[in-house]
Amino acid sequence: MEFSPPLADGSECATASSSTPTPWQCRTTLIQENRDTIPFPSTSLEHLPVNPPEEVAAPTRQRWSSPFEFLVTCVGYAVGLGNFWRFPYLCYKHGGGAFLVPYSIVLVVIGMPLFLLELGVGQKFQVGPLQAWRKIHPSLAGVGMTGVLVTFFVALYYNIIVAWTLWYLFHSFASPLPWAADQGGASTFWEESTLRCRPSLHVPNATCSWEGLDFGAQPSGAPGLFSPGLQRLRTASAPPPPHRCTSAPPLHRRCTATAPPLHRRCTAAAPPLHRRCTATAPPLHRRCTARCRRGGVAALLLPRARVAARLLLRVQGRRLHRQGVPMSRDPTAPPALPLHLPRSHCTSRDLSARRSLAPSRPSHTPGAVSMALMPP
Amino acid sequence: MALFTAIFPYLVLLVLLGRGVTLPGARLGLQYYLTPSWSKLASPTVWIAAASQIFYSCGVGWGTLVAFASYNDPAHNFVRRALGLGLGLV
Repeated sequence: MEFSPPLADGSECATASSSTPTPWQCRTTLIQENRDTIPFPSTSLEHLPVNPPEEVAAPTRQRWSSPFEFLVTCVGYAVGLGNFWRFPYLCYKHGGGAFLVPYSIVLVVIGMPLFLLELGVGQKFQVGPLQAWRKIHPSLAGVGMTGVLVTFFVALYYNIIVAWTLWYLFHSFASPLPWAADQGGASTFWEESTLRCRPSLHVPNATCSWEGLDFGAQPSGAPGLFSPGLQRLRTASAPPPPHRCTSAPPLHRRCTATAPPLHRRCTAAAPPLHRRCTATAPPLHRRCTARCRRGGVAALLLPRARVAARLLLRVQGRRLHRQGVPMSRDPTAPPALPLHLPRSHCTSRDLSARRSLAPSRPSHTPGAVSMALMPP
Repeated sequence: MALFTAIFPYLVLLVLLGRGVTLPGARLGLQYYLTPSWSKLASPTVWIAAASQIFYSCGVGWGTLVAFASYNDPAHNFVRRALGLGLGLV
């Protein structure tokens, strides 16, 4: 069926609409009605106006509410970690003010043309980067995909940098700042507490796996970015033994500052290195904390599990008794443990308190009481 | 909201600048920063670093700008915007 263009007065589509249609509506209706039969591209459609009306346009893409909003978003997007953190770092590494020269040149030669290009591509094709480059040419699809992929990879490590800023933010509320000069300095805090790559109280066996990397140290011998801590690490033939507070690079500030010899042996002895232990703890407490930490969750759960098992046994015994089996209590059996054992804190005060509690309980063998007090 | 997230980083930058130049030893740092060592310009690594930094500071090549601009009206004069932003970055 040959599609004939409508007349200018719209007489051919009188049946399409009750009211008098405009030529536009008439043509649109006709096209919609004869969509299956119109050959496309059809020369007979050349009569149609160039700009499609609103009704038949594709679903419109969302818009910025104003050009100003777009501008402001771009401006806000341009400031980020790249300017805060990466630019000063590179500037320091590559010759201070001289770095501004290649930076400015490259900005004009590479940055702004690419900026223009990307804005233009996005605006022209009205789609995201994955689709836009494919629309230019199918073989350019990789450009968009690579951009998105690169964004993914950069997001991986930007996470860590953002986490560092949070870490420093929280620690900046401490009254003597942990990176103050008398607390060990910024590089000590950075390497021991943030990266945890130097042996410290927190991580005794830490090694700087990035030690061989170039973190900005100048080949001319000028201090690097993370000096002097890094320099100290590099010049040291071997990393200091982790538990010896007396040996050269001080492992822990508090330890070297005021620690008596006994205290130092304490830190060496207690493997997980409790902080309270190093500060003021008497020997008993120290052994205790070490044991407590070794116990962990098991110390909390095991006594209760034992109690539950015994309760079960007792219930079972009663049931057997009801069934006629004589219930005999073995006098050598360990006594029932208290149901509500306090969580095993091993301070000396707790120990004595529990010892004073012990006789009030039905205990036949004193060994069982001390067993109950000992965390497994 | 967009206004806040766009302008607040600049406020933070200003605060950090003020804090930085009032710290002891700021003069030395500024001297180092502003005294160019021209010999560095001969090495290609500096240029490579500058070029890669451009991709970070302009946010170019990530696909984000394409996505941003795709919400523009097709008749939007983006050239003016881009030039203004580029000059602002300098």
